[in-house]
Amino acid sequence: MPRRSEEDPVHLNMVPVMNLFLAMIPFLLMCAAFFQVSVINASVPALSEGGADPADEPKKELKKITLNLQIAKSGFVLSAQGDQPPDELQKIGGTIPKEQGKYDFEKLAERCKKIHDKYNKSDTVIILPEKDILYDVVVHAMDAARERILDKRLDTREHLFTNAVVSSIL
Amino acid sequence: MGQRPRRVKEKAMDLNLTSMMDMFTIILVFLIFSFSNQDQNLKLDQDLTLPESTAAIEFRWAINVNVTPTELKVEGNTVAKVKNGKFTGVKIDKEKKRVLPLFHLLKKFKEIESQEKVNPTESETVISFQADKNLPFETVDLVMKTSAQAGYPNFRFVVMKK
Repeated sequence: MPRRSEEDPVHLNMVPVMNLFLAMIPFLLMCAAFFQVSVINASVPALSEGGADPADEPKKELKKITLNLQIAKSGFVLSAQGDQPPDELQKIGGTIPKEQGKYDFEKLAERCKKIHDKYNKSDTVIILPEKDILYDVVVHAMDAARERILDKRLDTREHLFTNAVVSSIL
Repeated sequence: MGQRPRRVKEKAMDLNLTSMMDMFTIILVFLIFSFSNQDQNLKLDQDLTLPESTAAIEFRWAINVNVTPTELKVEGNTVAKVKNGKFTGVKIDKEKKRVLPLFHLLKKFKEIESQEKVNPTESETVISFQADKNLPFETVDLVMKTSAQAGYPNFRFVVMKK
């Protein structure tokens, strides 16, 4: 008569693994970030001491402008300054009115992209919000002028006016 | 003859840990994904709602200046009270556009900085600026101008990553 096979299922000893997991979880819990924080670099205009030496006049840079972005209650007002002739600079400017009572950040981003494509050495935007404008609107306007996200998944960005100077309208 | 006592079969109790292991593995994977080596110098206020942004620059060491809907704080210490977006109970130099207690405090920071090495990043010290998203620009501007006059013209606006 054949012997009855007594094959017990093999039990792995999971206790050391459990111990390891229990040690790792509190450590990871401490280092976990449940919200992601990032920063936007900005500056305020600073006065420099003494004027520029007229002897070393800087070269005219025709591919570079400084964009002025005024945030008014009615919308955005764009203007530019640079070495280009005044009529050319005037063409860059324009207004982007509010759309159904909301600021049109998409149109602002499009406009900034167009300007940057033409003057691709530009990197400075001076943001001039009116005193009652909310800080949230200022940050969103900075986003629109700073970069364009090409692929959200791959996090590829096209940099536009990366140097933001925040000032107020006098 | 009395009955012999039956031999009690003592068997080691086996706990089935498989489901617990499954749970731990899921928790572990989640925590590894949300692991962050972010600078721990960042202190977020509870009554502060930061604006959302697409910015992707990581937070680095800086002097913390927070403007909540109720207070103006420097490194966690209250400098002034804020009510309806206006500073209350503090002297403000309207001509020079500065909040005087903030100006004096930051000036002191600048003096200390010039004497001792306090900045671990070895680059120019900047202000890590946390402001409530619903504050008017007038309030934000006053803090920024005060900081610039005290010797800190560069800022890092702390925002929530979208």
